[in-house]
Amino acid sequence: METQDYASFRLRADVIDRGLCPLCGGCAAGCPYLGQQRGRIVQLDCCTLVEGSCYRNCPRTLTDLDALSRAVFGEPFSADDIGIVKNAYVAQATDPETRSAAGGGGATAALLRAALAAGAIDAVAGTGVDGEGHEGLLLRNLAVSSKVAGMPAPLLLTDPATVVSHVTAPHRFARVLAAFNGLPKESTSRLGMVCLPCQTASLRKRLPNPAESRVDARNVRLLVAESCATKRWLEPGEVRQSANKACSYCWDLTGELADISVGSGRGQQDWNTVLVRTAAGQEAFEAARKAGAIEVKPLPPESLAQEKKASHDKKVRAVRNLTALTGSKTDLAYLGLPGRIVDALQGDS
Amino acid sequence: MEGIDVNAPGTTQLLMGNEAIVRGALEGGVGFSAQYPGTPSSEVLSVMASVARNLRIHTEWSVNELVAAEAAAGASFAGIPALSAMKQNGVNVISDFLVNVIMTGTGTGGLVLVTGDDPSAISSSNEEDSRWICKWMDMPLLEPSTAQDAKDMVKWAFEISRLVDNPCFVRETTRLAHTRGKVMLGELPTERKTAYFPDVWDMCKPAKSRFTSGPFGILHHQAHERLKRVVPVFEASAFNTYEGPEKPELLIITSGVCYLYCQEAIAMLGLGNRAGIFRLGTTWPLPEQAVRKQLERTSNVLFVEEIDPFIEGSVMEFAASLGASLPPKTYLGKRSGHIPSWGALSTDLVAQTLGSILNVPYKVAGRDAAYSEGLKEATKMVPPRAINLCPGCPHRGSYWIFKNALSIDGRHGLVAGDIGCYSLGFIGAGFFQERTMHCMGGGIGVANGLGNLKEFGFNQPVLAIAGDSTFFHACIPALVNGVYNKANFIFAILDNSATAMTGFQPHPGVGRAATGDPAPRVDMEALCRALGARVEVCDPFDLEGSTRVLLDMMADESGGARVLIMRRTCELVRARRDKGRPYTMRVNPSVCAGDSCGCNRLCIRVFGCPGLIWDKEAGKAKIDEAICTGCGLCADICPQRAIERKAA
Repeated sequence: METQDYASFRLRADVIDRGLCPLCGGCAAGCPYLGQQRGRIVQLDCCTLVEGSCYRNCPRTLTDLDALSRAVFGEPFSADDIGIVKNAYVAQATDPETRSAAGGGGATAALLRAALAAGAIDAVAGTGVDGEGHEGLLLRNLAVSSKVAGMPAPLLLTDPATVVSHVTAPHRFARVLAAFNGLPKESTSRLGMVCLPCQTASLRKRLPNPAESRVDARNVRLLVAESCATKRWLEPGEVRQSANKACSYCWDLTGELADISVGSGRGQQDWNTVLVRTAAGQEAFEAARKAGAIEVKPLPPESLAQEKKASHDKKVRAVRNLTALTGSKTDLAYLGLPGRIVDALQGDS
Repeated sequence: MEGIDVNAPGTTQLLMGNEAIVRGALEGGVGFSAQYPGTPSSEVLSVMASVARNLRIHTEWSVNELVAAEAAAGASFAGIPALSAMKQNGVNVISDFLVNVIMTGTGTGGLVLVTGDDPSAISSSNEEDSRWICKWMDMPLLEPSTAQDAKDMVKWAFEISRLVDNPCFVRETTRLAHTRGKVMLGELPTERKTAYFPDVWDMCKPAKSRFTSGPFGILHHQAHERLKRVVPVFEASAFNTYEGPEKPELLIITSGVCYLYCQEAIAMLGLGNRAGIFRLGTTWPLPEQAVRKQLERTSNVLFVEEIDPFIEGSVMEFAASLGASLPPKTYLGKRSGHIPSWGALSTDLVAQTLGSILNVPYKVAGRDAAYSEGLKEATKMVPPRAINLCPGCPHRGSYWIFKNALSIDGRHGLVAGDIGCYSLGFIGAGFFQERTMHCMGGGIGVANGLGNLKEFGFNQPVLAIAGDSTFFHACIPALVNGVYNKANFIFAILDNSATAMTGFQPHPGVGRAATGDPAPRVDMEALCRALGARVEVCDPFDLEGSTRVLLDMMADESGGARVLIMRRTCELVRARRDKGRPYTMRVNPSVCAGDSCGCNRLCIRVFGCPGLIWDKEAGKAKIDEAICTGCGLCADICPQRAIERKAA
C-alpha cells in the first residue's frame, strides 16, 4: 500500500491541498491524526487506514447529492433553488433576551431550547469556551489553539437553560462536529444540533455508514442549519468567511440537507427566515410555536424570491469556480450534482 | 565480602574492569578523581566515590570531561595523584586542554586518564578509537586485557605519568569495563601526600611558571623528549608477552581484550603449535626492539585489534624503517581486509579469520542442531521489543508534544537533537523527531546556525533539545551565543532530574554530590532567565497545555533564543523514590473499539509505550501489567478515552 492511498493523505491531496477545505471540522473531530488550528486542518501523524471517516464524511470529497437527498428525505435532490422545503416562514424567539443574544431573530436557539424542554431531544451538541467547566469533552491533542485561553471546546448541553448562550455564541460552529464525534456511543439517542451547511453535509454523509464506535448520525433528530449569510466565526477573532477561500466553492447557501434551515430575516430585523424541510423539522417547529417559544409569520413572496435567487447564484458561483479549478466542465471536484442541474447552472454561468 | 578499599595484599576479589581500575588507582595512591559519566566507564567514579569518605579522596561528578580533566590536572600540579575517566567522546572534549598540558607537563602528582572505548557503539552515538590521541599528544598508552591487568596497569600508570611528566593514558573497551575477573590485590599506600602548588611567583627571581604553555617550540620539543624516557621501561615491560611456538607460521600481534579472543580461537582450532600471540600491553610508544624480536620469528603477521589499525600502522611503519635488515613479510589485518576496522571483534570472528588464513575449517563450537533448535524455541518465548524509551518515560510525552506542535505549526520545523536517553528520538521511540543528532551540546549549537538563516528565506521553527545534565555539560555557552547573536530557536531542556542514561549520577541541578552528600543546587531557570531568554516550564505529561505553550513560543515573533524546560522526574528515579505506581491503568474493553475505532491503533502503533500491547484475541489494546509503570500518560492520547487511570 502506498502512502497516497491512505484516506488522510487522499484527503490532503483531494481537499486540503486543492484549497477546498471549508474547515467544517468533521475530519479532525475525534481523529487523533488530524487537528484544526487557526483556520487549517493539520495532519499530526500517519494514519494507514485506506477507508477513513475523514475522507468519507468530508463535505468536499465526492458527494452524491442525489443519494444524500434520498437518505435524508427519501427523494432525489431537488432542482428547486432552495432544495426541498415543506413550509417557509419568518420567525423569531418570543424571548427578547434570546433575540438580543443571537443578534437577530434567535429562532435557532428558541427551536432547540423548546425541543429540549419538551423532551423531543435529550441533548444539544454545542460549543463552549474552555475554562467554563466543560473540559470533560475537550478532545485532547486535537485542534489546539495558539491562544492559551478562550479555546472553543465541544460540549453537550442537557439543561434547556444553557442552550441559548451556547447556541448564540459567536464561536458556536467551531467545534460542533467535535462535540458530536466525541460523544460516547450510547450517550444519547436523540440529539439536537445547529450546524453550518458544510457541517450539515458532513453529518448527513455519515448516514449510510454509521460508525461502530461513535454516536450514530441517525441519532441527530433535529438538525438546524444556519446560513453563512450572517457573520460567522471559526475561532474567536477570526472571521471565517473572509479568511477561507474554500467557501467560494460552496453550493449550499441555506443548508439544504437539514431538518430546518434558518437564515437572516431578509430585511426584517430581529426575524429569521425559517425553511422547514422534514417532518421532524415541522414537528419541532409546531411544538415550539405551541409552546410560545417562537412567533411566526408567513414568508413574504418577495423574500422567498430573494432567498431563491441568492441560493441559485451561490450554486452558479460554485459551479463556475469549480470548473475553473479543475479546468473541466465535466469535473466539478467534490460536487456530485445531478447532470440536469449542472447543465442548467452552467448555462446560467 | 570485603570492600574494594580493603588493605589485604595477596587476596583476590572478583572485580569488574571498572572496579579493577579503581583498585589500581587506590594502590597507586590516587587522591583526586573527577569524571563526567559516560558508558562504559561511568562506574569508575561511582565506585571511587563509594570509598572516598573512608580513604579521604576527593571525588566529583564534574559538569563535563574537560572540567574533570582540568581539575585532575590541577591536583596533579599540586602533587596529588589524580585520575579522570571518560568514554571515547570525552577524549575529544578534553583534547584542547591536553594539547596544552603536554607542553607544561603534569607535575609531581601524576595524572592518569582512562578512556572506555565502545567498539560497536553499544551505548554510544559513534564509534571511535581514542588511541590516536596518544601519538598526537606524546602520551604513553597502556591497554589492559583483563581485570588484573587493569588494576596493575592503572597503579603503574601513575609512575609512568610522573616519569614522563605527562598524562598516562589507559584504554579499556566495553567488554573489559563490564566483565568481572579475578584480581589479586596489592598493597594500599599509607603515606598521605600534602598538596602544594610549587611554582608560585618569586619576587626575587620573577620568571614564567612551568605550568604555562609557552613558548611552544621548545615545549613541544621537550614533550617529545620526555616521552622517550618511557621507551626503555616499555621495552622491558612484563605486560608485553609472547606465547606460542618459537617459529610460528603466523604471528598474531594484539592488545586489549582481543588478546583473549586470540587465545580462545587458537585453542578452539588447535593451532597452538602453528600460531603465536604477541600481546602488547604498552602500545605507545611502540616498544620497537621487543616488536622486532617477535617479527623475526616468522614471515606472516596478523594484527588483531578493535576499530582502527593503530598497532598495525605503528608496526608496519617501524618495519619499513628497518629496510632490508628485516626480511620481507606478509602483513595481514585491516589493510588486507582480514580484520574489520569497525565494530567489536569476537572469538568467533578471530577464529574464522585464523581458520581461513591457516586453512583450518572452523565451526562455531557447541552450536550443533540441538543448540540451534533450542535457540529458536527460546526466541519464541521472548516478547519482541524494539529499542524504546522506558514505560513512563517523560521523554515520550515531550516527543509527542514536539511532534504535534511542529505538525500543527506546519512550517516544517525540526528537532535538533542531542545526547542522552532522548537520543532515541532519532528512531521510533521518539517518533523520529530528532532530525540532527551529533554530540553533547551539538543540538543547540546546530540551532545557532539554523536559527540565523532568516536572510536566506529560512522560516522553519528550530527546536533544540538537551537533557538537564547535558545542559550543564555543553549547552550554556551555546545558549549565551544564541541570546547574543539573536539566533531564532527554542531550546527545550528535558529535565528529568537525573543523568539517566548512564546510571542516575547527580549533576549540578539535583542538589547532591558524588558521595551522596548535599550540594548546592544550580537553578537552571534562573540561569537561563539571567541570560535574558524567555523561559517557560512545562510538564511533559500535560500534553495539551505544553503543546499550547510550545505553539505560543513558536509563534512568538520577537524570536531569539527561548528556553522551554520540560520537567518531570525520570520514571526510574520516581519509582525508586516513591515505590508503587501513581495510577492503575486499564483499557476498558467495552469502550476500546479496536480496529473499528478508526484510530488505526494509535496507542500501539504510534504512541508505542512498551506498557501497551495488542490483545490479538480480543482485537483491542491492553495494558501489559508487568511492564506498565502507571504513569497515566496514555489515557490522554486515546481518542475514545478507553484507557482509564485510577489513582493507585
